[in-house]
Amino acid sequence: MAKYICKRLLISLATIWLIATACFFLIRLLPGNPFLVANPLDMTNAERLMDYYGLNDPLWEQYLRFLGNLAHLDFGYSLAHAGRSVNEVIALYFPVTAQLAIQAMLFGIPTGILLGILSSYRRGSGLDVSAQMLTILTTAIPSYVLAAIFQLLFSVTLGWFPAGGWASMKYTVLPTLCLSLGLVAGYCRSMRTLMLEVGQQDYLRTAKAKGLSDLRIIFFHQIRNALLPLLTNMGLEIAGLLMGSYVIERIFSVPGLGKYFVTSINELDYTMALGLVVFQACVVVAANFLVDLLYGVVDPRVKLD
Amino acid sequence: MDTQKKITLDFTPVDPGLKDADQIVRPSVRYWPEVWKRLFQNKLADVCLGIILLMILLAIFAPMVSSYQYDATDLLHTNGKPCLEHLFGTDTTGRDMWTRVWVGARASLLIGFLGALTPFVIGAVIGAISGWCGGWVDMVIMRICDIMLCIPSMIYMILILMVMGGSVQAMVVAMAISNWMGSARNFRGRILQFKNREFTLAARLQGAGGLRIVFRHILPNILGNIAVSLCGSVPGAIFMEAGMSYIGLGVTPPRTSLGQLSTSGIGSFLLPSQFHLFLYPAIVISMMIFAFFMFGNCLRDALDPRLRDEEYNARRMRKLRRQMRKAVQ
Amino acid sequence: MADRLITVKDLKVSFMTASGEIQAVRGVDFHLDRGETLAIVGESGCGKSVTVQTLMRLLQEPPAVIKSGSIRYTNGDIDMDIAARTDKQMRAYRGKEFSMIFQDAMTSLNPTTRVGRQIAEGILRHQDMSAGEAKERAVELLARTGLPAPETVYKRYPHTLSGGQRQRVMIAMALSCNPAVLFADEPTTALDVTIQAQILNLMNDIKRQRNMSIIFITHNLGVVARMADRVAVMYAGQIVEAGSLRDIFYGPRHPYTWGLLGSVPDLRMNLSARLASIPGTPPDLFSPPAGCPFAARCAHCMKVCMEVVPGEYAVSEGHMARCWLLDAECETEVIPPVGRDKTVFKTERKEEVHG
Repeated sequence: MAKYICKRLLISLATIWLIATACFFLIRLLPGNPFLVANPLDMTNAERLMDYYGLNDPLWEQYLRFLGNLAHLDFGYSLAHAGRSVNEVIALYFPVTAQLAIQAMLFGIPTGILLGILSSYRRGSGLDVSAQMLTILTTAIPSYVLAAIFQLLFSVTLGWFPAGGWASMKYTVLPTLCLSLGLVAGYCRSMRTLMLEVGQQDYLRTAKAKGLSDLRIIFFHQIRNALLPLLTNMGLEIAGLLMGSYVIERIFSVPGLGKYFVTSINELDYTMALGLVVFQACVVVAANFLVDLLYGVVDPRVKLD
Repeated sequence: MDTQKKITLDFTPVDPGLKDADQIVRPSVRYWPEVWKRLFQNKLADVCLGIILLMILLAIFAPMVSSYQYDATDLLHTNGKPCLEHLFGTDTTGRDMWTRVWVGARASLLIGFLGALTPFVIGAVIGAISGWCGGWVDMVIMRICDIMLCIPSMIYMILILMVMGGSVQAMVVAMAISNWMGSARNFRGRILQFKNREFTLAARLQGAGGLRIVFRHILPNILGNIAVSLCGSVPGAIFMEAGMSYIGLGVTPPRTSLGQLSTSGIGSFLLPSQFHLFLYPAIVISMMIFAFFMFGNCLRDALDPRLRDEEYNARRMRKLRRQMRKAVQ
Repeated sequence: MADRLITVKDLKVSFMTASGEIQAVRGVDFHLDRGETLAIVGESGCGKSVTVQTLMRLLQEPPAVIKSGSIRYTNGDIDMDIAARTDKQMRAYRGKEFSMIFQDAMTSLNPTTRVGRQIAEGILRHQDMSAGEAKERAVELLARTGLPAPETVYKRYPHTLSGGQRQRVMIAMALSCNPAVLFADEPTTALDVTIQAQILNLMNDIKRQRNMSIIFITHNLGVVARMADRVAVMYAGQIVEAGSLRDIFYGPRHPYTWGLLGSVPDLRMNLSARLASIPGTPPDLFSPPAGCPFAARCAHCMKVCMEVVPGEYAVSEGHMARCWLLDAECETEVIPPVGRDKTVFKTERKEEVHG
């Protein structure tokens, strides 16, 4: 077990290092002087700023410094806003994004799984058909369009929830709903297929031959085995949620990391964007790592070595 | 009745040579014509294919025959409501939305097709090499795959689009780099699955070379799968572009795409005077994604009729249950 | 009179698919007495598994549909027609009155649950026991099937056991509630020959001890010789010949049985001789032939065989075959190529089954 954890940890660290390196050098390929884009400065001042931030040093020196800082979990300073560090921004805005993502997962995944189980159990029923329609709709309509429709319906017309902002739980409802609909649809679809697949397995026939009731067969044998493969997706889900939060946070003007990230790209604040990308990659890699460990614990067939 | 029947019984032996011992009662069906038949019998598939073809035709020809340029501003007619002259109205700078939507559809369709095809082809080649060669080549390629899969694809997309700027080519390159791993893994698995099957061995014994085996013997077996997964990734690519447009990294103005049009419409869709700026691009992109998605589903059903059997039985079972419930009442 | 447990009359089972009806079982009659082993023999797809699974009502209904027939089960207080029961009513009997061993123990055990738990689950379902008692009983059963260190096996997962061990677990599971009838669906086909012998011995021991009845499905005639008291030969959804082990092995009457027996290699056989095989393939059950299903492959086919399904002809007490060659009016003399008893009796038709 310990050996397995160490191995996975090493792979995760290597992945983060690879991402950080790739991002660092790609950013350096960008043309132009970052200070001239954000602020109207003359060349000499810009050069002084370049010196100040160490951007005129040899590339390998900058790279080593970047890696050294990264080892201390220091992501550097913003180029566009003097004195603002990436770490501050993360500390300020990441909790909001994390809250949104966690709420979306807590709502979306169980709902999706439940819908999938029900629609596989009652194939062809009204519930199954409407669940499939939901899947198709959320796949076909881009999330920002859906968000706009929700705003129109629930805030402007019905006035139930605020259309944007971030003050109380009430403000989180619409963004969470928008963010989680994709999860509901995806998990419903996969769970339905998995349930049908597991339904064909011989061991369900064995369970039936033991005289067990349908409910016990479904809960104890079918759902258990159908849930396992879904677990592997959870790590990737987090990447999808981060991506989704860029859009959703901007539409609902939620002060989260996603919104800040989009702003930093638009302002061409490259160290900020780089820092945030590396941070998000760390989050995703860490999530994958945890899911892998969890999978090893839950599924007896996975050997931990 | 018993005696009547006995009279007609004829106990003369039949010459065994005259009989066909392998009774083949079912008519022989060829695979692909049967698939096409099933596909086109499905009305939903016809409708989806119709929508896709219509969109492609409109994207090609609508801007050509339109009397407006997609980037020609007309400050006298800004925010025009849809009318006969401007079918989809005009935008905030008076550009004709009908022309812009179909020019945008060109970009979106191009990104959809190329963004699905390029990573797929690259992945297929790499996967085929990996699966066919095996050994250390396979190991190295698969390790690279594993590590690249760990990195969320949006990170590649954002970095590449930041470096290359927003354009159709940049979009396709970004998708090629971030999405080839899935297809490579899939293809490698398929090759391995068929590499040691008897028909492949038979072909090899007859002296067929590696390429010939892959193209003549393995490819036809996985063609159906390929078609379905390609149909599924077209809407994914269109979606990706729309998302990137929203962040500000998609196709840059004055060039346009459906994603860009619909996202820029969002900012002002609550104003009644500008609602059409959001509505038409959103409808067109939603219909496009819906058509590709459903067509992929129909294609999968046509390729694997077992699923249809499953649905048939589910329906039958529900009917029986209803009848039983009625009988109880 | 023997204690009759199961009487099957004119059982017909079909599968409804989108492309049509597959008639898997087409009118089967047989019976099973207490303490005897009935072997059902036939090539794959002849309907033997479907027949047995119908007896326990294990098939998904639909697609499977019992078209007609009755399955009478009598044991002590219980006297019922299985074919007329609902799925819910059957639940109380599955695992208690009859249980089943499947061919592939690997896929028939839940891969994510400890085997002991899977055994205890059935015990808890049917017997009034606490979880602790059920566990003890499960361990005891595992020990009974000859598994070394049953306590540790109890805690193992199926994938950590060998094929023979898994089949022993399956047997322990099937025996957990002392069923009166055990259905065994090719339980040894996936095993090595030596392990196969062990499992067969185990089943025979248990059967003798508990005076249990077994319906044993196989296509291996060696296994039949070892296990069966009576044999039913199935072909294309019908029982074409049934009789005691002796009847079938020494005096077979149906050309298909001749073919089956003839295709078994024999140590005394002339080494240069070709192993006999039956030419052709079984008919498609989508649209079964009008006459005898075996007619197309039969070397002794007559015109009548192609047109009318033969009825059952009693060869001797308890020995039946469905073949026109046995009809009193048939003038063709055929000497059976296999078996010791080479004279063919012409008999009156026992009954007109589908007249």
